[in-house]
Amino acid sequence: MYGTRVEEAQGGVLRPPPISKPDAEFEAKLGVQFVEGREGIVVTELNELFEKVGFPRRDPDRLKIALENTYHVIWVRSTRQSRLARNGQMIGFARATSDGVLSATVWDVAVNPAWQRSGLGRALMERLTKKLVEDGIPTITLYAEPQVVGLYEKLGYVRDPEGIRGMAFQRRKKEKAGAGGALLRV
Amino acid sequence: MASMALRSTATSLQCRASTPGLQPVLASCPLAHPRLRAAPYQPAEGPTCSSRNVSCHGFLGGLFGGKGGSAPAKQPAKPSLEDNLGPDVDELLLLESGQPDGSKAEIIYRNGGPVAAADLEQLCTKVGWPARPLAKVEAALRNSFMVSSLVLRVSLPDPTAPPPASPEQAPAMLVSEQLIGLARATSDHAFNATIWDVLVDPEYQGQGLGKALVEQMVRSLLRKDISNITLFADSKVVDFYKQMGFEADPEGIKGMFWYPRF
Repeated sequence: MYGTRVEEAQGGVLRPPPISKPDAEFEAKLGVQFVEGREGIVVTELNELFEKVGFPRRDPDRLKIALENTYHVIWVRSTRQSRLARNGQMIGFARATSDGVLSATVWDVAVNPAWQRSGLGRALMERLTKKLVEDGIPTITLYAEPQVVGLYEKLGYVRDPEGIRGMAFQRRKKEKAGAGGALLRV
Repeated sequence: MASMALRSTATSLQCRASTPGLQPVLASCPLAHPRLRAAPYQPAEGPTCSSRNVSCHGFLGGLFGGKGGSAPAKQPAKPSLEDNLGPDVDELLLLESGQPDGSKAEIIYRNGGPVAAADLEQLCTKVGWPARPLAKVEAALRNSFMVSSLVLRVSLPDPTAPPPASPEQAPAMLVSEQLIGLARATSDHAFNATIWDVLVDPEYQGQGLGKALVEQMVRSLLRKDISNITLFADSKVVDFYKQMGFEADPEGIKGMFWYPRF
């Protein structure tokens, strides 16, 4: 894989995606806010969210290391007490690793099933993508499960551009629970 | 593996115009021929090279045509890289070629050694990739979790040094290094890694060096317990990575790019 983009050569920037629904609308209608950065994230709570969406639970110490070495994190926090969430509870999450200048990969996009279908996944991805684009990173990638490929295409992601294929090294050994084994989906 | 005592080696010289005295010598050096012989396979006896933390193990025979090596007669299904993670070393000798006067050329896999952005960009230009801003390349290397390189190291007798005092003493050598391949990986240091920028100098392609580079990088990542190793492969090299144990679209999962413009 190599950078063949004019933007990379010129050091220019792609156009960021529009934010289709502003923060204020989410605050007013759903009582949630978007938080940037890993400060305030409780690893056990993050693991609970992963479990709810069917991701493997991770070893908490390794999850902490992963967060510390992630380029950008955006999460969704409930701003009020309701029957669906405690005040301050994490209900959505997304992160991206990167070298900070040339390429980035999005991982672990998760929205609490009770809060799905309310635009939070799209909102997370718009904001995360916008941040990466505005930081000048020309190659922004992700690995999408078949059922969400369409969602990401609507956001402006393209699958297999020019026949480029996403690949993963196949582990044969059975993963320990919480080791974060198989290809982590978005 | 004969341990070549390198006496009074100069500090590593870069093969660049800044060392004009060395360049003409290298240009005519027969050791610079791209088709270096594979180092004869040695059973694992422990490192014998004098360099820091270098393993002089030969290669698993399968990497260079399947002959030789100590692969067991009974083999299960195709072995995976994870079955043989290898020793935890920073450098691995891949190929070498020597002369009676002590001259030699070595191709080394090096994990984590410093790579100059300018050398990398020079290599990128050689393989036909568009140039990238040096400052960005520098930052990308610095912020990568792992940078693995292929280095051509040429050792020649130092023409300015006095001859050895006794026949047993090895001649003083001048050592130079040239970047001939690279791969780097970004990672969260815990679960996922993505491999980028895999390239081998066209002069040295066709000898299995790209395969060696990627395989050693995968081993290095596995030793660090990074269990999800990913990459994005041009359609022309999908099979190259498949042979090493990578799978395209595993479980139907698709690689996607945001608004690529090629």
